[in-house]
Amino acid sequence: MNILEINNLNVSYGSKQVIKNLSMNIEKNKITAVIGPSGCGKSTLLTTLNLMIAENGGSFTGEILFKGKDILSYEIDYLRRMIGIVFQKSTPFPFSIYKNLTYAPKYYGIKDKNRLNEIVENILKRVGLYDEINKNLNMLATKLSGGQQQRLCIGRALTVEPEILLLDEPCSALDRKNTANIEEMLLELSKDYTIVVVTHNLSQAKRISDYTAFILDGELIEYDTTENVFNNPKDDRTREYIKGIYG
Amino acid sequence: MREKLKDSVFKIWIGLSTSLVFIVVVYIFLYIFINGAGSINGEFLFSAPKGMPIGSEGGIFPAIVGSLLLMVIACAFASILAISTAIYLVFYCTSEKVKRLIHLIIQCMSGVPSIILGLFGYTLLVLHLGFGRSLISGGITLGVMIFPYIQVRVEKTLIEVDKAVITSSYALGVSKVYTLFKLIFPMCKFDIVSAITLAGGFAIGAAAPVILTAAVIFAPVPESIFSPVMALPFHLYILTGEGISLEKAYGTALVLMLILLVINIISVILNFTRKEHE
Ligand SMILES: Nc1ncnc2c1ncn2[C@@H]1O[C@H](COP(=O)(O)OP(=O)(O)OP(=O)(O)O)[C@@H](O)[C@H]1O
Ligand SMILES: [Mg+2]
Repeated sequence: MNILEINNLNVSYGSKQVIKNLSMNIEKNKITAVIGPSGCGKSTLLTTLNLMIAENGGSFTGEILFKGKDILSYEIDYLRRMIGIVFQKSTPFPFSIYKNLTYAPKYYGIKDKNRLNEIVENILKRVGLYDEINKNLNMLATKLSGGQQQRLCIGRALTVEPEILLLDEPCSALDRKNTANIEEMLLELSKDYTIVVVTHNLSQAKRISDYTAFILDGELIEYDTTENVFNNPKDDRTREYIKGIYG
Repeated sequence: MREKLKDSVFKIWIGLSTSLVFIVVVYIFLYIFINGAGSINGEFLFSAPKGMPIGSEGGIFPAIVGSLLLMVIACAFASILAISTAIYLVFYCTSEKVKRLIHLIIQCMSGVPSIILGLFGYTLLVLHLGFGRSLISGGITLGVMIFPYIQVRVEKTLIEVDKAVITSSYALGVSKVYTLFKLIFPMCKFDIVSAITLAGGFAIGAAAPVILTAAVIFAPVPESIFSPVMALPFHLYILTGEGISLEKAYGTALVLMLILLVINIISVILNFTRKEHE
């Protein structure tokens, strides 16, 4: 089932068009990787999907359907709740870990202490931080390591129970071990969530994703199962890009 | 060789200027301390002025209370408006033109001499609105005086908040108002409170606006916000201006300076606390 359907999407900042006539569908409960050279519009594509693009001064034409309905027909808050996004640079709020994870649930009306504690515990377990930090919930989140911060931010996005998780280069600032942690976590999460992940790391895309989209200059060049894209690219530009990085 | 010489001349120059300022400040403080410390005791701090001419005996309690009340009203009035303005400019105003216009107005406001503000307060609040010389007239006039000061600082603080952090809040589907109150204010609270305390220090030391809008010579502790008040700078001005008691004047000056010192120390402590939180 396609949870997102993107039809003839054009996105521009002012007069500068960044995404050009892009159409693709995102399948539910799969991991879709988006690859492409720097500046090709990957982040722009992600921020368009939950309408964060407006906050960055961009606008779009075309149609995006979330569960068969135009995203513009949803309340923007609801849409953003359903389609969570985590940015490349981790952005923990400068409060305690506990407060980071209860910030959004409190907004959605959960006041009960036990319920909040339960949410925090569940989330920490999901993102694999429970054993590391469950004793230090009052620690300032900004004091966590880079990898822990990134996992906390992914956790924070999960506290509002989204259906889709958009990740913009979640591992770009992390070492191997942290990257492996996050990849493992994403594979686990994909059982319950639909994940779209932008990555510069082709072997990462290969390791974790079911589908891969290759974007060049705002155009979707190739979109297929990850296996086909990497082993059997139909377009020469895809072949070159994949080879270029490897060789 | 020449560069080296320039370098050392410059260093000496900087060193001299710094020590000069330091010496002057310490000298003023010591001078007032030595001359004023003698007259400070329980009676001076906690009783009303007495004697003939009045003020030559007794204390300055009404002036201390008056000044603190004026400061509190001024800070409350100014900070509510200043913070709202800053929020509007940073998070809601989308037109560059409007922004520039408001900035221009605020800049002009900060340039208005305090005696003119006093005159404005006198005409509008004391006469026109019929508040009379009172705590409320003086508080609001002082509030207008410190408004630009608080506004500029709060705006700067709000602008410096990491945009990415704010965006991640919106990305959770959380409203702007919730983001403001639960994320941005808690992040900026130390800076905002520090701006308000410093502005309070500025207000408590101002004499001109108070003379025209709030102070009546040797008024007692005010009973309501519509009562006239005495204020420390005005008290000081009367004592010296009328040649009532130089000794008491130094005492009053010392109390005023100590209050300012406490305000500044609070602001410094807040700054430290903030640094530690980061
Ligand atoms: N807020 C903005 N205003 C104007 N132009 C922008 C803005 N954000 C991005 N762009 C431009 O849009 C183009 C695509 O940017 P985008 O961030 O989507 O690329 P990307 O594929 O994510 O690159 P990277 O891999 O380096 O993150 C770039 O040319 C960039 O300069
Ligand atoms: Mg990007």
